[in-house]
Amino acid sequence: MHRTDFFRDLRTKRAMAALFIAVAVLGAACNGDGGGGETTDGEESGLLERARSEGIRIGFANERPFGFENEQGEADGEAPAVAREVLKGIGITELESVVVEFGALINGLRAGRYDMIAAGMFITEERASQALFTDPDYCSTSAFAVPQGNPQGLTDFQSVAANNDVTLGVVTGGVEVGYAEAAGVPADRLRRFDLTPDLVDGLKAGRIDAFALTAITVRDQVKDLPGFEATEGFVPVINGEEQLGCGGFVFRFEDKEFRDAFNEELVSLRESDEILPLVEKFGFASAETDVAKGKTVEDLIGKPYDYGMNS
Amino acid sequence: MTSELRAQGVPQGVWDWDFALEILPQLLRGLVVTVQATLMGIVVAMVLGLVLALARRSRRRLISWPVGAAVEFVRSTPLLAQLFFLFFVLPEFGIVLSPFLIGVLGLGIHYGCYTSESYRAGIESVPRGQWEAAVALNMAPATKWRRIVLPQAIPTVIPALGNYLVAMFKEAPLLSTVTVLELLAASRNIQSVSFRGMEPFTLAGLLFLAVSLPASVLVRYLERRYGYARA
Amino acid sequence: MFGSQVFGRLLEGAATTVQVTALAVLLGTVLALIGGVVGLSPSPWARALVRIYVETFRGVSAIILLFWVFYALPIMLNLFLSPLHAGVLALGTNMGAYGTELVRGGIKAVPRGQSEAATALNMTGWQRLRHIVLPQAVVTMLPPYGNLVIEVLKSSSLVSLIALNDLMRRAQSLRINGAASTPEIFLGVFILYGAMAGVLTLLVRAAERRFGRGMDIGRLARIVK
Repeated sequence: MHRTDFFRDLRTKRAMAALFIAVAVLGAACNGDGGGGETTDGEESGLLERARSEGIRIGFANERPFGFENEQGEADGEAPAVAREVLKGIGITELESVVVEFGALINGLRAGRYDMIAAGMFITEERASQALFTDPDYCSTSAFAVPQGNPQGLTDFQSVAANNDVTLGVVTGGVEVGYAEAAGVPADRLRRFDLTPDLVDGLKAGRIDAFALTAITVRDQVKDLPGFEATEGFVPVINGEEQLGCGGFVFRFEDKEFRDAFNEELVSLRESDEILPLVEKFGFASAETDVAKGKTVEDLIGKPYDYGMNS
Repeated sequence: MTSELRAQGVPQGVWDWDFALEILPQLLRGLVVTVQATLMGIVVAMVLGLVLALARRSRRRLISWPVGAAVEFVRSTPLLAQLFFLFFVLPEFGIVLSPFLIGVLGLGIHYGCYTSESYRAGIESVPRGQWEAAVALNMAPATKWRRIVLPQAIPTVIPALGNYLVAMFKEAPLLSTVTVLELLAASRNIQSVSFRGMEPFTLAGLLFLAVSLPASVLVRYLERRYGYARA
Repeated sequence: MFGSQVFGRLLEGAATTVQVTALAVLLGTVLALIGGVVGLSPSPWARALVRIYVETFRGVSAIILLFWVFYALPIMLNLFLSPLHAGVLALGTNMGAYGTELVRGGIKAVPRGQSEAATALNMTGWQRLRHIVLPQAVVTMLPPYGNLVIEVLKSSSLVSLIALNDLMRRAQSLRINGAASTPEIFLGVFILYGAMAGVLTLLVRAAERRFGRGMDIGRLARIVK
């Protein structure tokens, strides 16, 4: 056919090759947001030195009061405030922040979009196998946001499971998802939202009858929700075990050196009661910060913390 | 380390078959919801499309003009934005719809605007002579439409409808963003809890292909059967 | 109406939307041209390869492809993909699959006589393609291509789901910060998307006019298939 010579033609092949190269170059040249993230298996990544000279990027979710963007567009809230103090203590003053959905925080960390997570993330076994946690700086009970008077009488996750009329809202990737499922809340009565404000909207609109978050967050949210209140904080009991949620900061496995330096400073601040003054204005009380004293990651995940692997 | 974790049931490596099989039922349940939403959505789109097409052909500018503008508007803006509108903005005006209903309406309205174009093309493809004959025979407008125009217009629309059905199925996973528990939502939930993205999303893709490819074949058959232009 | 600050933030998001769309369209167009031309090759292997690409990347929707590229591909290749990379890659390959069919159709629509005449005039395959076939194919391809570009613009809103700060995501952030009411924000969103789509449509029409110079374009030519 008359098209045959087209492909045998050397010029065609050269042109195609040129095209491929052009596309490849363009692709490489276009740097998206965030370069970072050198994954050196097992070796120390030198993040500490780099951060001291160039600054560090932190990732957080828009969740009052743990981490949010204030009017100036800066990272504010419990976790960023504590992180800033700790970082100062190890010689880092330059900070950049990235806002990400809560459920995407760990993925983003591992992909290198930022170098640490400061979102008050609870330390759990699953999470600890994916990234390197520090020891906790606070602990919190869980609570529900319910209509005034708590008409459904919700006290814990089991009570939600037992009441067939109740639809519960949770945040994607939050520990409450696991708590609710373990307590027996069926899938069609559990609604997952990506963002905390969506939970609030859902409650106001009547899509959900209640939502579950840390007691601190719930109390903070109901302040702006007339007609709704927070239930008493409770410690979820799953399979007979109490699950007190304690939050820490998160790093990549290959940044162990950095994490250890950060952790040391964090623990020293914690033991000398210097955390509370930083976070009081966000609604934290000594009840939350004192409970964290003396706790380590191992306490919370119930086994030795020696993971050095990327799964 | 790896073997210890494996013994505890933590999935390992790039692809873990046990994990994949474990999550498959959940994904299949989600797929069913996706298909349901699509089928209901296409019904809405088919009906709405015809209504819109007729409205746009109306000789009264007061009707045809706003409808035309609205249709163009819906076609030029993302379905995601429209779904969010139904989900977040309507409640501010007191209208709270269930997520599934929002999904069906969102898909139906969005694609109804596309099908209205196909209906218009189909209606316009009916030869002038037919219209004139109907008038000459003193047919009432309703009869003219029912007996003459539509029976000739609809067959040309069928392949397009088939195409839009497949296209709608491909956009149905957007419903996961308004908390509908369909296939993509299931994948994302699995990912956010287990931190493993390989199995859920690959399986989701494969399941999707398993439905969309046969559907495309069917549509192509419809195209051949009903033909295209009558010009 | 709403403060300029709110609109300013939305505009920033729109800029990212345009960036993602432009890059994805670039990738998609290149892939479509390659795919379309290779898809007409005499080699059955080449044709099969293109076929597989087209069916797969069309069959999985853009959104599933996007999540797969963002969450699964990095695991497979042990490679860091920023949301921008992932978004462009997913949307571009998706568009390329649809575009391939367009290009094939466009090239086939060019009358045989044209390529035969070109061969008779001793043009090489490449010259024939570049000077005779493609320019005429482009005229038929442009309207559906324009639609495809607008589809990419709309699909770009999906990148908000993988945490890229485009128009859609900015709107969500503004809702969180409570800077403006939700209806106001959405009004801005729809206006901006509508405006961008409008601009694209105008660009495509201008391209149609330019490429159609000296040819029979319009209703008459479109019947000839």
